[in-house]
Order: sequence, then structure tokens, then C-alpha cells
Amino acid sequence: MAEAHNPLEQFEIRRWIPIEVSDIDISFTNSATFMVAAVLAASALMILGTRKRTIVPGRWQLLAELSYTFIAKMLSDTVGKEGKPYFPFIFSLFMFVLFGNMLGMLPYSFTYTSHLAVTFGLAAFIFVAITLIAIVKHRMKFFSYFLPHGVPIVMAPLLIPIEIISYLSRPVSLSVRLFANMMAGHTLLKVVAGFVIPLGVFGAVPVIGLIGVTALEMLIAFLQAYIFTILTCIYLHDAIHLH
Amino acid sequence: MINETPKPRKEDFESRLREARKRLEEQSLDKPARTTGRMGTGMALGFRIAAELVAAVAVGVGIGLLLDLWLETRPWFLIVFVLLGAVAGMMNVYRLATGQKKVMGYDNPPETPETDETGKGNDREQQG
Repeated sequence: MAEAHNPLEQFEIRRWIPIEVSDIDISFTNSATFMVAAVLAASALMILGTRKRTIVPGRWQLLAELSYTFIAKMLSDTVGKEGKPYFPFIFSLFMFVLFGNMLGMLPYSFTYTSHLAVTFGLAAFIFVAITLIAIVKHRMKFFSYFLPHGVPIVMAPLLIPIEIISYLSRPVSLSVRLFANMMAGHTLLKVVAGFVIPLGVFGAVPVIGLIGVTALEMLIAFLQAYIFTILTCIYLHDAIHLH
Repeated sequence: MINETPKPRKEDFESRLREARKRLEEQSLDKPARTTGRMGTGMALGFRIAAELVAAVAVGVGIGLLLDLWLETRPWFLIVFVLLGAVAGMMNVYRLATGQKKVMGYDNPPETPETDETGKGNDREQQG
């Protein structure tokens, strides 16, 4: 093989416009480019899709309306009426993750959700925000969260650390799940694709496999965005209702 | 199609809209339907459980290492917190599987009155 394709090469961050502010590297990278692209695409879908506002929606309007109802329903199902003020955030979050995953499915594109820095950034923000909401809403009662009701006091020294770890593991599991799924899927695609040319005629076998894996990746791209959002909703529910 | 039908009177439309909205609300309160198919939710649950197990152990390791670094007691806190992390992970999975109040949750305190709010919550957990 003349050129060895590294399946992990696609995750490399490249500085497209190097910017440095007092030793802090804030270059505009390929990752940042695709984030901007995702935001623009999501905004375009919502703004252009709802421009005509016909009673019988066209394709784009239907798509925009469907995504709106999907999140609105998810929010009211999991959080209830109190969740309404948080709708814009949840909706933006879903669109951002979904478009990140979906744009990543295009050939030669970059998947920013395959980087732990991005997903953990999102998850950490959500975690801090939701903890603050809980503390503001419940004040000191929030800390009763860490000691289950009706537990003998002898068990407290053991249970409180467990509960705290369990609480702290939320942003970790939230971010690792999204990042690992996207990264594993894209690496798998690339590895399988690497077999196609060297196998010659038999390359048809991995091609058939690739079609299946691509379809699966599409499902996972949507599913992971869905899980990320619904877990945020569930955490929000816990913060608002406590227990 | 709709545009071509003769225009209904406005009050008529308003009252029908109100009724429809009320119906919708009642419906959604009765049984909150899941929007994705069965396979989607099954896979979602699977991914959640896998990540939940690993994440808690990772957090345990992190806390243990930090405490050890700070108090220079290596490896004692690491040992303790890896075990605690594993326990927390198992507990998370157990709660998820039994549908007990989503991720972190306990039985309701007995003094909490059974409002429709909690009733609604129980419905949801069976599907979650």
C-alpha cells in the first residue's frame, strides 16, 4: 500500500486560522468550523423552514415543526410543565448535537462530537447549571439528595460518598457515551473502508458491510443526540422536583 | 386543500381550537407516549447502562487519585474510592433497570402526599 491511511487521522484538530491571545491558543480550527456550520444549518432549517407558514406544511416546514414537537413533547413528558422555561436551551442543545453528528456523516467532514473536550464541555455546563438550579430552588434541602430517606445513620458514612460519586458520574457518563459512540463508529467506518481497495474483487464484501454500518451510524447519530437530550431533561426533572 | 374550503366563522374556529387543545392536553396527561420506536428506546437504555457502569468507576478513580495526591496517602484513597465507584456504578444500573426514579433516586418519603404529579411520574418510569 502506497499510503497508509490512519483511521484516527480524521479526528485530528487542524488550525485553520491561527489566533493566539496572550499565550492562549484560540485558533479557529476545523472543529470550530463545523460547529459554526452546524449552528448555521440548524438556524437555516428553523428560519427558512418556518418562513412560509402554510397550514399544510411543505417538506422543510414539516421537518422544522417535527423537530419542535419532538423536543417539546420530550420536555413535557420528562420534566412536566415546569420544564417550559428551559425549552430554548434543550432545543438548541439537541439541534447542536444532532447536527454535529449528522454533519459528521458527510464524507471529508469533521465530527466535533467525537471529541471528549466538546462533549465534556457541554456536559459539564449542563451539570453545573442543573446543580445551580437545584440549589436555588431547594436551598439546603438539596443536600438531602445525598442521603436517601429512611437510611439508618450508621450507614451514612458509606452511602454519602457513594451517592456523591453517583451524582458526579453524571456528566462523565453523559459525555463519554456521546464521544465514545461517535468516535468508535467513525473509526469502524474508516477501518472497514480501508479493506475495500486492497481486497480487489473481494472488496465488494466490505462495501456491502459499509452500507449497513453507514445506516447504523445514521441511527446512532440520531439516537445519541436523543439520549444526550433526554438525559439532560431527566436531570433537569430531578433538579426541579428533587427525588 | 384546506385553503379552498369555504371559510368557517371565526368564533366557531376558536371554540373548536380550544376543544382540540383541551383534548390534546388530556391525552398527553393520560399516557405520555414515547416518540421513538421500541428498538430505539431499547438501544438507548443499553447505551445508558454501559456508560453508567464505567463512568462511576472513572469518577471514583479520579477522586481517589486527587485525595491521594493532596494527602500523600497513596494508594489508600484510590483503593477505597475505586470500590465505592464500582458500587455507585452498580447502584446506578440497578436504579435504571428497576426504573426507580430515573438515575438517582429513592423511594418517596412517606410524608409526601400522592399528588397527580407523582402518579404521572410513576407512569413514565415504567416506560423509561
